[in-house]
Amino acid sequence: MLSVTLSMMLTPDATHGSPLKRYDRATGLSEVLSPADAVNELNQRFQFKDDRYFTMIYGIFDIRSQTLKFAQAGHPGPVLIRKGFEPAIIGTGGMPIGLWPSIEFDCFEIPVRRGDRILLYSDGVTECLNEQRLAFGEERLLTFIRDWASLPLEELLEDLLTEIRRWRNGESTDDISLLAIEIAEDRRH
Amino acid sequence: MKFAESTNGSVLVVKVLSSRITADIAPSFKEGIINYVNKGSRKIVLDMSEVTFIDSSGLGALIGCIKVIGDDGALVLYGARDAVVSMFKLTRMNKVFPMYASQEEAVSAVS
Repeated sequence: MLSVTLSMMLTPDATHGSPLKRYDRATGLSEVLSPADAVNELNQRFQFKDDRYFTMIYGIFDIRSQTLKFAQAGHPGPVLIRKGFEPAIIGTGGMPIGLWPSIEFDCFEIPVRRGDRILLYSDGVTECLNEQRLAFGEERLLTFIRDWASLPLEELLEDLLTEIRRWRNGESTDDISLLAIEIAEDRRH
Repeated sequence: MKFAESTNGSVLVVKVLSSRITADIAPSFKEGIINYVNKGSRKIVLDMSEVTFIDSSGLGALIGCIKVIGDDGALVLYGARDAVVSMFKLTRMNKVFPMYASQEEAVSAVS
């Protein structure tokens, strides 16, 4: 999804009809839609007659204003990992995409700073079961991150994946996706 | 997929007897509820007290049921456990499927 998004944002030819931009014929310029508008647009385009739907989380980092704006459509809330603070699940929830055209999605905005990390994950992470059929769960995820937050990002992700695999012991069939973003420290000085 | 059914006034009360509503049983769950609808029950109260977990397929099945029931009917829940309540809150399904603490509250809400 990330690569598709980037491709759509950066390719001029993809401007027309992109759910992520609004093209102004008069000026020939495109406006980047807010995450909520983009998700609302996708919901209009993907209306299923049956019970299919999909979840997503779509956000925009505004480096200048140091904010992260995102829309959450049925997807688990990301974890904000900030030095000196307890890791916390952020977001306000939201319905998945494709259920009804009348759903209005809203946007969640948080200030971010250099060094912050955001972890995105699929529900296969928190819902995977161990041999006792106990779910990995949000609390265990947050505890793991708190205990290992000082590791470099790549190691933290690898170790988390190992921990989840150990927990589920090959039993779970749902997919496990992890994506972490770190706002790099300013190294220009 | 097993259900236990009873009636409370004009409302059908269906107890879900599976502890997990996941991909493997979601189709038969949906089929079971739609069978009740096809037999004429358009106001259904689901007793979720035995359900410890519902995943995205389970939610999909419930959504399929409410689409079949339509605006003139009702599908409400009661007795949902914490894990189920959090799933419904995350996906805002609590706005689609009203949740109540007791059967009496659920039944009177749709009566």
